[in-house]
Amino acid sequence: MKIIYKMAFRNIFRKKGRSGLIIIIIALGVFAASFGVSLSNGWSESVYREHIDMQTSQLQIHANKFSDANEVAEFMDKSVVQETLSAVDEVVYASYRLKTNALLSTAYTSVGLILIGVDRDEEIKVSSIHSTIGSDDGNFFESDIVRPIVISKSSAERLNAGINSKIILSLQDSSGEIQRTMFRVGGLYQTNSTRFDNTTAFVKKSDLIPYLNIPEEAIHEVAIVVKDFRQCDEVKHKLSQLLPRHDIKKWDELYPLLHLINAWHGIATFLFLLLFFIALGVSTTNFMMMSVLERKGEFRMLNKVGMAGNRIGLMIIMETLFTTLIAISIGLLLCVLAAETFSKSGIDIKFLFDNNSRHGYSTVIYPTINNRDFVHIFVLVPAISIIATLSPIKKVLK
Amino acid sequence: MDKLKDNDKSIIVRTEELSKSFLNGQSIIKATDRINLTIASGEFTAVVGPSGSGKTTLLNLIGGLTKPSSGKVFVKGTDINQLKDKELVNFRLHNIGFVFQLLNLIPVLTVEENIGFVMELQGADKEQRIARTAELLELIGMKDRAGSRPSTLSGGQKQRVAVARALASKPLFILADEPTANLDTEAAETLLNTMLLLNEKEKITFLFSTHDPRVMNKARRLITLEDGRITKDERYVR
Repeated sequence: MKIIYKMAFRNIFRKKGRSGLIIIIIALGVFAASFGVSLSNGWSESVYREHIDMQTSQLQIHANKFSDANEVAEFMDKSVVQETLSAVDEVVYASYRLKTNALLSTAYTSVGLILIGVDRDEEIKVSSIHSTIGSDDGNFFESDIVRPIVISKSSAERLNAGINSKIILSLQDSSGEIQRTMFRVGGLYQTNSTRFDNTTAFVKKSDLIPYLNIPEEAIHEVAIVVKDFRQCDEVKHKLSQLLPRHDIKKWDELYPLLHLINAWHGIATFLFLLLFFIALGVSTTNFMMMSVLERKGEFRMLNKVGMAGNRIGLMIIMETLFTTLIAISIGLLLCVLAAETFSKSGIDIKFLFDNNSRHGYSTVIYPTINNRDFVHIFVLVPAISIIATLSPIKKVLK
Repeated sequence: MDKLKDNDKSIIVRTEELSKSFLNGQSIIKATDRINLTIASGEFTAVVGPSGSGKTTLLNLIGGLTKPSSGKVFVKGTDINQLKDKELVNFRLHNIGFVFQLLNLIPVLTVEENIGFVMELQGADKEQRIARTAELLELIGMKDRAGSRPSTLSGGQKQRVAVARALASKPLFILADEPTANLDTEAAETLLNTMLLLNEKEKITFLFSTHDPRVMNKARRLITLEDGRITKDERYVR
C-alpha cells in the first residue's frame, strides 16, 4: 500500500533531532562493526600471507616417511611428481626443494637449522622470501658468489656474519655420513616470524645435492600454489588420489596454529558482531518505543477510521526499516571510505608491541572488505531492527 | 420517538436495549442504559446532554469502537457486535465516517492526501480518488490548501478537512464527537454550515454529540441523554 510506505517514510522526519540521532548511532555502530571486521579480515589475511607466502605455501608434498625429522633418504622422484602436477589444472606454480637439517658454523658460534635447497626461478613463484631482502642485504641467488647461502638477519647476527662471510655447513647425507662444506653468505632476509628466521636457511639445489648422496632428480619437498586459495581442499584430495604413496598436506596442517587462528578469528568476529547486534536491538526497541508511545492517540484514530492493526504494524515496521537502511548505507559508506583510505598505507599498530618481537605477522594492517560480511550486515541489521520493533508494536496495538 | 422498523429502507442505525457499564473502583457506572434508537438516512442529528450523560459512549457503541455490556447495534441490518475485530475494522472502513474532537488528521499527509486516505485504504481506483478529493476540496472551500500539511491549518480548517475525509468514501453515516468543541464561533459556524451543505448535497447522515448550543440550533433532530437514558427526542424543521 503506497500510502503506508509514504506515511512511514515521512514519519522518520517528524522528529528530525531524534531520528537524526538514532541514524547517526546506528551508522556509527555499522561503521565500527564493518570496519572492525575489515581490520580483522586484513590482519587475518596478513597472518595467512606471512605464513603461507613465506613459510608453508598452500600445499606441500613429501615422501610418506619424510616426517618432521627431515629424513634425507626419504626422497621423491621429481619427474613423477612433476608429471602428475602438470595434469592438475588448478596447480599454478610448484617449487621442487631439497630439505635437510644442517649446522651452520663460524668462528664465533654454531647454529642448527633447516636447510632448504631451491631453484631460484621456481622458488620466487611460490614464496615471497626474496622480497624481504633489502637492497643492502644482498640478493636471492642473483650474484656471482660461489655456493651462496641466504640466511636470516637474526642468524647472521648470532653467527657474526655478513654478506660474503664464510659459513661452514655440516650435514648428514643419505647414508648417515657427515659432510662438511663452505658456503658464502649471499643474502640476508627477515620475515615477521622470529621462529622461522632462526630455523631456516636457503641454498641452491644444485649446490646442495652433491653433499646428500641422493640421485640428481631427487627432491624432498614440493611447495605448491593453486589458482584459487579456496580450492586447496579439492586439490589436496585430487593429489592424494594421484600420488597415493606421497604425503600431501595443506597449509593449516603444516602450521596448525594458523588453523587455530582461523577458527578463533571466526569466533571472535561472530562474538563481536553478536554484541553489536544486541546493542542495536536494544537501542532500536528504546527508540521505537518512544516514537510509537507518543503517537498512541494517532494510531487509535487510524484504527477507528478503518486502518487495521496489521497495517499500522506494517507502517511502524517500514519506519524502522527505512531508518535502518539510511543508517546502514551511511555506515557502510564510511567503512568503504576508511578502507579505501588505508588500503595503500595500512594502519601500523606496532606501538602496541615490543619493538624486538616478531610473532609471524606484520604490524601494518590493511583493511579488507569481504562482500559476504557486508551482505550479512545489510541483511541482519534490518532484520534485528524489525524484530526489536515487534514489542513496541504489540504495546501500541493493545 | 419515531418507531421505524428494520425493513424500512431508510433506517441506517438501530439500537436495541443498548447498555454500557463501567467499573469504577467498587461501583458500577451505567454510561448508557437500555437505549432504543433508530437513525434514518439523511438525518442531521445531535445527541445532547450534560457532561457524563453518555453521549460519547453512545457514539462509540454505534460506531463499533466499544462493545456494549448488553443490547445490540444494527447498522444497515448488520449486528456489528457479532463481527470479529478485523471484520469490524473493515466494516467501519467501508461504512462509517468519523470526525473526532481532536487528532483527526494525519500530520505527515497533506490536506489532499488526508481526504483521500480512507479511499486509499479501501483500495479505490486512483482516478476515482483524485476526482472525489478534488470535488470535496471544492465543496469545503480549501482547494488552494490541497498541498498544505495539517500543522499549517487553523482548527476550523482541520475539522473541515476531517469532515471531507469522513465523507470521501460516501459512508452510510458520519459520527462526529464534539466536532466544534475546540473552535471559535466563526470556525464553528463555518464547520456546521459545511456539514449541513454536505448533508443536503450528498445526503449523508450525520450523528454528532455536542453540548454546543450553536450545533444544537442547526440540528434537525435533538436526542437528549440524561444519566445514560434518552429523555427527549425532538425533530425540527430548519
